[in-house]
Amino acid sequence: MLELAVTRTGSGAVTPPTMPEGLADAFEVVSQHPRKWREFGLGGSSRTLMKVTLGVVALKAGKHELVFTAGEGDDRVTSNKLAIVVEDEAAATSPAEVAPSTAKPTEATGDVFLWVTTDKSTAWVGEQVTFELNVYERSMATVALRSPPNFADFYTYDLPEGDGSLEEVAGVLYRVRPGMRRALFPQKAGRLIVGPAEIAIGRRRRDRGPAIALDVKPLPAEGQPKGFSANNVGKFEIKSSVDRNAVDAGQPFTWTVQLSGRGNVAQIDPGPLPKLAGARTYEPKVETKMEVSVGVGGTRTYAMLVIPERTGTLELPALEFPYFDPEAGAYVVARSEPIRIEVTGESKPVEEAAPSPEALSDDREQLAPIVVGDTVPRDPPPRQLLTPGRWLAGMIGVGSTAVIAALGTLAWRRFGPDDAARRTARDRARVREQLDQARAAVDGGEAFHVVVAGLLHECAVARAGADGVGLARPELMRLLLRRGVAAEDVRKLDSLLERCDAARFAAQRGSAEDRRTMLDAAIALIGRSSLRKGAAT
Amino acid sequence: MNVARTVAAAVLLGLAFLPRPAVADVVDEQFAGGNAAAAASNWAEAVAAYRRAAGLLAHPSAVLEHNLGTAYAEIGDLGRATLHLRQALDARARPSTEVAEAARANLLIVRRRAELQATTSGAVIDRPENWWDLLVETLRAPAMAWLSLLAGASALVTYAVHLRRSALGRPTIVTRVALGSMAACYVVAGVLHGLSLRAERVAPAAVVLDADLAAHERPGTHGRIEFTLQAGARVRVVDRAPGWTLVRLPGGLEGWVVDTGVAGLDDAFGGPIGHRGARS
Repeated sequence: MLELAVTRTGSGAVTPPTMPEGLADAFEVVSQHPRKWREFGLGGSSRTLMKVTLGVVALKAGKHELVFTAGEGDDRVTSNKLAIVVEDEAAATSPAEVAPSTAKPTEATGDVFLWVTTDKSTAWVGEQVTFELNVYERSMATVALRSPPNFADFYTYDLPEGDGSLEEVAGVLYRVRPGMRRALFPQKAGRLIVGPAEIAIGRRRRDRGPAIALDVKPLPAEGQPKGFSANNVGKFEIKSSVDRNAVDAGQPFTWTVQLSGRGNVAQIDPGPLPKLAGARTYEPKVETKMEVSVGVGGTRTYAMLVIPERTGTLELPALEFPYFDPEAGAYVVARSEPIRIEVTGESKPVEEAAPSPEALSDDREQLAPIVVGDTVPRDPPPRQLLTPGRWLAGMIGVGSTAVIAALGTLAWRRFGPDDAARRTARDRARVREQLDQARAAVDGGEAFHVVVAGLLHECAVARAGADGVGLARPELMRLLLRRGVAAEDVRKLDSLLERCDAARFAAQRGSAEDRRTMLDAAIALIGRSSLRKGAAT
Repeated sequence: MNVARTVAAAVLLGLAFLPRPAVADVVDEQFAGGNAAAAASNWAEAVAAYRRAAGLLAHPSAVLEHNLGTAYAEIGDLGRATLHLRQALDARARPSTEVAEAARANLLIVRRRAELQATTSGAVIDRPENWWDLLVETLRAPAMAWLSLLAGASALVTYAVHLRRSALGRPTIVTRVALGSMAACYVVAGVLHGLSLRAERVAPAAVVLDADLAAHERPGTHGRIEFTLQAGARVRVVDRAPGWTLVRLPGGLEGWVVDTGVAGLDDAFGGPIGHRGARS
């Protein structure tokens, strides 16, 4: 930040200062805030002041001298010579000039500044260190992380940044915005540098935070297990489990070894799992579940397929996992419990080396050979009579037919003839039948009168109702009269029946013409007179 | 006379250019080449020859599918081995009893290998076939279609008899029972068969071809990987998007996989037509 102040005593305007050429060459002006005001003295004197605040970013390393001017002609004034030394980036981040910081800031440096801390200034190789980058701000400018710190010598994990807060620094209240939180795992001993971060403030202003150094101690050689991995640093426990405790020989089960705790779980190395006598084992499937909150921890799971080959008890040994506890500063061994598996069934031969699953299958299960021949059988697919389309059509047809039949039956029952109608129809059919017989007998005369008499009698009884059954003719005639049959019709009926009787019993058949006339009279009597059933009602 | 000659020549020329089925000799030549390569344990070459032979055939041949599946099994391609061995067992491929036995035995071995691979790799594989699969397969069989249709037709005839006996005033208890039984058979068998056909049409069966096939939560490689599928796993194709297929495992697990990673069991037979032949 550069501040230029121009003061003019007495009346007259104050012109803004002119920027020197050197400023444009070596600096980029990212902000410019002019402010002008006037002051009056007790004696009536006055002066005009102008203050210009420039935000600049150095572009070139070296020593730059800046001289500002203001006004023109006789009013032209020149500022003092301002010397600015710009160091190069490498020099700015040299380890000699950075220091570990575990404390809060104590000096309010501008409206926005960066502050980086670690939760410890010395650590062991592989020990978890929490790095925090916070932006202290008291302006409304937009702040963005332009270039993150350099963690070249660390294995890092992102941690939740947390919420912002308010904090007072040297009496000035700042908003503290979390910019970055990381878990660092130093990968080598010595003084390790976390490079500086740079933020962009607004559109053109930038600010660079300090680099910090961390003193990393090597893991102690004393008591270090053979082949110890430098990532096995933290606090861990080991558990061993199986998915079943009893299996048949030749049947696989899963042996799961679980390492959990705080530390670089994704990189811990428990070493190879032990070989099991009397069982084949396969490469374990490894899964890592990281838990990231205040620090890094989680679970690393090794799931191994085991196929016992011998009946009896298969013992999965207790497992040991040595790790370095940074808090205790010593090596600790986590242990699991041994597990016993009961293997039943028939023993399988033990092999020297555990083959791959494919090799195992090949050894135990031979594929059926290919079919060898001179020609390829190329019978067309069997002709399908009942295709889905035909089946569907058939099903719909059957269903539709059933529905139509059911509806037809219902309609017949609803709208078809009742018992009386059916009886009437039967009677009429019988009458028609008898008339046909009578017509057939007209010419010959054989049984003509018997048929006609029977027809007329049946009609009379039907007209008289149940009371007329079995009555002699005179009583039947009287009953017909009581039933409302016209006297003329009763008389005709009686006459016809009389003639029929005469013909039957007195052999008075008469001529064919006579019989035809009698038949016509009988038909007229049955069909059109009051003798017809239902005529009175 | 000249006209007759011209017509005859034109007919002969037309016949010469009519599309014809593949020349038998070419198919047999490739088949023999595949057999020779298989005898020399050159399974990759055998696969190539069998594939060429299969490509020349108008419809799958059980023998060729069995050999192709076996060759794939020999080179460890469990997905394609499963696909072709299953196709060898399809009645439409006309498997003989011997070929069906061999294909079934090899399919069993391939399945066990796939399960073992899935156990070690953590990939998801479908559950082994059980009575439910057998039931579904039975419901889809043509015999069920015939049963439902004949039951319906018999029910119609029985209904007519029932009406007649009823009109004549004769006892109808027998016709009533027969009619109820046949109608129930028509409805139940028909509905179940229809549902199984619909399921096959809507979600045709497929086999996972690629090992550790990634199943994404949505189409595209940007989608989160939900799980990986074991080669040879049976799945149902539920949905499709350009280049991607939504598959469902029998347990209901779903994920989008690349199109080329799965193959429909009915693809070689012209797509799902519903009536897959009863497995011999």
